[in-house]
Amino acid sequence: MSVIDFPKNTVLTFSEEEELFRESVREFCQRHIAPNWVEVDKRSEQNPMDIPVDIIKKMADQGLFCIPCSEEYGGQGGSYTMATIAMEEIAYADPSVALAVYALLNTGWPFALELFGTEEACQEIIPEVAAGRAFFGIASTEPQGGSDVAGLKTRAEKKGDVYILNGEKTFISGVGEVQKLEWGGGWFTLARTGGEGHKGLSAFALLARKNGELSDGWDPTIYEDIGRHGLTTGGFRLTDFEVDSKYLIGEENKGFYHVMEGFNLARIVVAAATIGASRWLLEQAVEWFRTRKLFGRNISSFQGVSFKFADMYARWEASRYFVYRASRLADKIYIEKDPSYKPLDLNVPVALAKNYGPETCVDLAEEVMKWYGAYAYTKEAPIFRAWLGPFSYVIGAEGAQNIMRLIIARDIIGRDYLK
Amino acid sequence: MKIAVCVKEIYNLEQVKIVRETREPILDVPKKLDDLSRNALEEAIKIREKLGGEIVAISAGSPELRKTIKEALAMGADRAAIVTDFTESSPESAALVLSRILEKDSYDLILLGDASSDDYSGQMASRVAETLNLPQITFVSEIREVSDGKITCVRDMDDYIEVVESDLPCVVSVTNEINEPRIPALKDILKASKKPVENFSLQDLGIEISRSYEIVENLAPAVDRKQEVIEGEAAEVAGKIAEIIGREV
Ligand SMILES: Cc1cc2nc3c(=O)[nH]c(=O)nc-3n(C[C@H](O)[C@H](O)[C@H](O)COP(=O)(O)OP(=O)(O)OC[C@H]3O[C@@H](n4cnc5c(N)ncnc54)[C@H](O)[C@@H]3O)c2cc1C
Repeated sequence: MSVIDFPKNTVLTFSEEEELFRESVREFCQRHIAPNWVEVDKRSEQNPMDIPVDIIKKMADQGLFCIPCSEEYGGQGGSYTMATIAMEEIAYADPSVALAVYALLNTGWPFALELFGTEEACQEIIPEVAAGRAFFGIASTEPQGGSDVAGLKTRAEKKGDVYILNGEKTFISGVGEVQKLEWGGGWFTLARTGGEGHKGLSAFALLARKNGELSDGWDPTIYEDIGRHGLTTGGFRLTDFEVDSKYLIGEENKGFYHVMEGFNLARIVVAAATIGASRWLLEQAVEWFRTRKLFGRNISSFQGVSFKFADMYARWEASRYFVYRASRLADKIYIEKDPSYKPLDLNVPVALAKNYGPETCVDLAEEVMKWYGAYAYTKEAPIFRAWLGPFSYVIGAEGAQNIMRLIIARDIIGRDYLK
Repeated sequence: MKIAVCVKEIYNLEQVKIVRETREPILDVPKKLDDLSRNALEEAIKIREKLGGEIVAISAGSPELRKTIKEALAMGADRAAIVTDFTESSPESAALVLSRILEKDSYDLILLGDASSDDYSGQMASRVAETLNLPQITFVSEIREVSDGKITCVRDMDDYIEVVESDLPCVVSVTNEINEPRIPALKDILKASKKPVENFSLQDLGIEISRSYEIVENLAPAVDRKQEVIEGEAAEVAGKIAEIIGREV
């Protein structure tokens, strides 16, 4: 029986197909992810390269990657809202969000590749990602700071039919996965092909490994993260790394614009993952309230507890509206191709979702840990895993929280008034 | 091979709540495909994978069935034939309705779940087989072979197993051990909406529902708790608890 009887909703509604899909993802996750997520988090904490390849394969067989990509590239031919539903459900089953983030990166970024990349690159990469044999994420962050995308330093020099890349990328998800999965994979990346600023950047599909073969000039390291174990984070140095021009994504020196559209898409599903994890946390809280008694009464009879819960519940519902409002808008732009909506229309709705969803999740996790008391501070209780994992999405990962605020302020107040 | 699979819509039992005071169920919850119906459908899909052919999902239920039947189409049924004004359900009338739909076509094999997860009356396979005058094999935990107009099944009789062969066409009802039903993927769900669904009314089938019995009460079982309180020192209490567990288990 579900723990919480969620109120009926006539505003945030889903089609029959969407509901059926949600049920099917939920059932898959209850069978294959919920019973294993703590073990995955523990094992990969010990050894980040202990990647849950078996679960990744099962998720691929169930069609949980490349959800909005075309069937001709081995994608699922679904909508962006379908992707959003899937990520919410995967993170509900794995609130450390490792598996949801694996799935969302390998949905948002292959889709961005499909939007702007060459036919050849799409034919080569997307089917492998959909089959769970390759990872394809985003590599933009560099050591000098992730938020300043326009200032990144990695250079790409064109020589004949290839670009030669030199530079360094840090805090990149998937550095272990591209080494471990059968085929390999890489990232949607940015490098400087022109002058200073955002107009000198081009986007590439950088394959660190393909057909099981490592590419020359790619030197990786793996980091020890505090959470979200089960999906690796690492860095890599590029030394005369050759990228064939078929892997140029979109137009030369327009990479900044393409990556920003990709970020908008990825941020929707990131926020979706955090509302899924939050739903798990809300249920943990309610179950506890119904059993834990102090001073002869349920702890939720203290308004210091129940009122805080009510506030957190409200924030969760609000986050959910933000997330699905953004996904429906993404469907209008990228799936239905309705000319009355433009990619820039996504900026504020997406920033609202990415600003609010992760913060709500992390704040909720802290509250739930307080309600559980000391038990929550032991590693036996899994709640802290739903705190440390989603926290990566407040810090950064697809854009820091302040950058979301910056986007909202800039677009609502007006760019000129922020100078 | 042309296979009919009789599937049932049931309330999503995980969401049914019970009114504490009266023990009545609150049935304001969505419907879904019954678990054993999914086992039957999975078995049909496996046979089709080997031998080719067509699977038709057959069902009688409420207007919501138009939605629920999509689960069967998404899992892999090629089309469906349903009745959606059948709300006064009883095993005898359900069997009659299903048989009338089945008679509209000719099938090599008719598969069902042994019982449905809600009422669990377990009568449907036998009633359908009788009505259609077909052989029946119930409690099937394995279908060994389907070929040359014959089917060989393993029946799980709890204490022993039985291997039974029958001519086709035949009615077979399956247990939940037979397989793990597949979960439809997004592509299957998107395809399901395009598959044909024939919708009959009871009138089309010339059936008037009558009931030979009445449900007097439908209440959750009352669970009396003993609420034994054991007092004393920890060691003593632990000893007593161990003793009670030893006695009761
Ligand atoms: C687990 C994890 C996985 C990651 N995966 C990836 C990945 O796959 N690919 C990738 O490219 N990157 C990835 N990142 C990096 C992430 O995107 C960056 O952390 C993020 O962009 C912020 O960059 P930074 O960490 O260098 O912080 P900085 O950019 O140095 O920012 C530090 C602080 O300054 C604030 N700040 C910066 N600029 C402004 C401003 N203009 N106004 C107000 N405040 C500001 C920020 O909000 C932040 O609080 C990942 C990070 C984590 C934690």
